[in-house]
Amino acid sequence: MNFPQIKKDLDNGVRFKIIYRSRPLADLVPSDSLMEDDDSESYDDDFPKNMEEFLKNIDKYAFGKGEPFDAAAEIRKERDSGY
Amino acid sequence: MPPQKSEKSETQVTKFTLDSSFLASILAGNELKSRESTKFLLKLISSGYEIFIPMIVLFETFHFLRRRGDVAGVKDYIHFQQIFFHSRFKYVSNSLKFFKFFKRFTFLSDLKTSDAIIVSAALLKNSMLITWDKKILSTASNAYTPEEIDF
Repeated sequence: MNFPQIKKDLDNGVRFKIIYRSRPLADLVPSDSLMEDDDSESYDDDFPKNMEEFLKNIDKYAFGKGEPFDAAAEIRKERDSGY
Repeated sequence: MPPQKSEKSETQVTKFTLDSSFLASILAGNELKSRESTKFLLKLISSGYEIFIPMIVLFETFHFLRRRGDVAGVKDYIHFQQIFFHSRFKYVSNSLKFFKFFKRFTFLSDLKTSDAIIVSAALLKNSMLITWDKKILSTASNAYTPEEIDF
């Protein structure tokens, strides 16, 4: 950092925004980020392309496993605890 | 014949907006209302009705399932994306145009921000909001559970 220059700028009325980062921003972005090129990502040909096929075979393709739960109640809890 | 609201009115409806509580119940097969929700969406899809998803619902559904650990890893992300990139779903963006519409609805003041956005997205599209959320159901006159819709 060029402190003499910063002092000179401050004397001349230049305003600085000081941003403190404990980690470089690049470290926060996963290396396999899905942000970059979503459309060219690999497509799973074994997964139903047709929505009706997906829904008719939901037991096979649904994500959830384990104990039954109430999604509406859980989402409500999250919404009420947030903004 | 288009479906009708069974109790709140007899208006014919051809457009539907989906809430996160409804979509999450389909995608998580172990959810309590999973079967009813899946059956209902299958009817909407096969009957050719217009289906809208507020953009905030897409984010919320994904994040909710990820936080639960139901959607985990790149393969699940790809599958989730393949479902929601389906051409039958139309998205309602949080645009400035939508905000101009949104700010008119003072009667939504009792709702949280995300709830109010979802309810007004359904109003914007002149559609019926499908949800399992009790608070939205008790507040918004355009909100219904799948059980309330007669096909």
